[in-house]
Amino acid sequence: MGAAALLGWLLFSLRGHLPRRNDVIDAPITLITSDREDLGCAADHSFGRYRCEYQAADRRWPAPPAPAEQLAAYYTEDRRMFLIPGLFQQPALAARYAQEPPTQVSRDSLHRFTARCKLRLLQKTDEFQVRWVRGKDWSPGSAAWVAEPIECHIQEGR
Amino acid sequence: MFRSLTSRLRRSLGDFARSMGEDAPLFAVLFALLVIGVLLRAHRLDDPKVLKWDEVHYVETARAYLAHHYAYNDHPPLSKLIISAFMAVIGDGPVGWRLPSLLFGLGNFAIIAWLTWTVFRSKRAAWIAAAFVAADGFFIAYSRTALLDGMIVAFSLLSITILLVGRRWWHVLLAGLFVGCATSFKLNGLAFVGTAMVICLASRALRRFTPLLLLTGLLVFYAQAAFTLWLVGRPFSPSAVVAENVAMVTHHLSYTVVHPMSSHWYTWFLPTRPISLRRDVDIDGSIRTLVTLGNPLLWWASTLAVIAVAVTVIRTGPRRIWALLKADGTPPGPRADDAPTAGADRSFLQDRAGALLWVLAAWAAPIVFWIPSLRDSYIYHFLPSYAFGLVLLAGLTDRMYRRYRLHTLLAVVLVAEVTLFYAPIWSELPLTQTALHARLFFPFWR
Repeated sequence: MGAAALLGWLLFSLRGHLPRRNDVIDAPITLITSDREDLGCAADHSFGRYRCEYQAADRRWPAPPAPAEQLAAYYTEDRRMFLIPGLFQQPALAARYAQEPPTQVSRDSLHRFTARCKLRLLQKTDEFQVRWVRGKDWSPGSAAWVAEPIECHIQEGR
Repeated sequence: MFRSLTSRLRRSLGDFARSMGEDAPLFAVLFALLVIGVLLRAHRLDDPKVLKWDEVHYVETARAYLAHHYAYNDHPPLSKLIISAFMAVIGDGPVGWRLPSLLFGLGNFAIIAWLTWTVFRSKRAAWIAAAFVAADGFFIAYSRTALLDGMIVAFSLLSITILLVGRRWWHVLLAGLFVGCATSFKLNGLAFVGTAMVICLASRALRRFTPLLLLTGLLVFYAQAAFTLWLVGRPFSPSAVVAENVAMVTHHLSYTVVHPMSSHWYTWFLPTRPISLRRDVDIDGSIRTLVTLGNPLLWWASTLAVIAVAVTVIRTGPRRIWALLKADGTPPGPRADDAPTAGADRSFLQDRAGALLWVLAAWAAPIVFWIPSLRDSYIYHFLPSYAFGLVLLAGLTDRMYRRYRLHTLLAVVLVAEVTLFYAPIWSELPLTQTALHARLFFPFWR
């Protein structure tokens, strides 16, 4: 009976590897350099030591988070959303930003690239809002992982 | 009288405790299946928080009733009245929508056990039947959704059972009430009105009460339709009820679009088109889904059980069956010389060929209803038939257990293993697409 129960538990658990807290995953994040200033999120609570730039839509935190601890929402090439702190602080992205500063060209002229990052998953949330362009409207965020970047390298778009 | 009742109860419990002691491993598995079935049904009943699949139609209609507004019905209104009553007490939310289905789903454990005991006169067979229904995804799915097919199962099982145990006019009255309710959920419940009438007519004890069955069923149908029309401020005379139902039937017959989830009756035995009642893909790619696919082992074994019982009934011969039907609807208990042999099993089944014939008829009736139908049919039209199929499977499993205890125990354990493997797609636990496809191994199941 014990063996049957164990086998039953194993069969029940055969659900594939689902992402869990502290898992490290590969995420191909699609970006342009103006995303460093444009992308933002708003949430009235912190996620560990990380916070969004905004506490609510168009209301900043009284004490802003440090750049390395400031969350923003990003999409991967396969349309998964992540909230990632200080992504553009990563050396590869900082270098890429320096190559194509967004202040000198229009947004539509910027070249899209992919940051292939290893991310450590921290927690899932859907209690936040996102802004895709600074000064534009906020919209409710869908379920997303909060994940901290471990390392990234750049792949230019074709 | 009270003392004789308590002594009978004590004797019965003592017998049961003794049999459980002898069959402890089997009952451990059956108990586990029952617990698993309850958990899979109740797990996150309030999720999703939005209406899915046909829940939209039934709950929106229930909301209209609560506001005393008329709403067009695809089906008779009884199920929506029940849902609206729960919503009135619990609130207009996921639990209020789905709790009636959950309660009927849990009640079906006891009802199928009662029918199985009635036919096979074995408490063990009854427990097996309850465990099979508890552990099967087809029944689990309809216990977790604001749909009405589990309610039809309950009343169809009750109507047949009461006619098999009954000898008095009030048994027929109750049967009329039950088939009236089954028809008041969906008009294909008429299949059970027909079956119940034939059972009554064949029974010497019940024959003269057949008009009572029809009249009661008709009154129940009229009462729920009239009450609903009164509730929404419309005329509720018999002619108004008739007009309402003629409009409903005309609407059904006018359907020309064939839904991609529809399936012909002859595909239900595989099946080829189980329905995904809900499917949500999470941001991380994990899938939560609720699929109306039964336990494949039970599904196919129940069809074999139906075939085996049908062969037995045919071999019993029409004369003996007619004699059994006329004499008494209730099957006898096991004979004194009921040894665990093939011959004894054959005799046992032939002794109750009359009752088995009625279970077969109840299994066939919902299927036959759809053979000539011009409307598209779906796998959920097979749900009541499947319930009767599991009655037969449970009875045969019990007989097999008497002869091959270890092999039968292993077979029931295998049923449990298959249940645990499929549990994630019956209770919307997250899994990857690969894991989902491993369970839906036929491409036409995806």
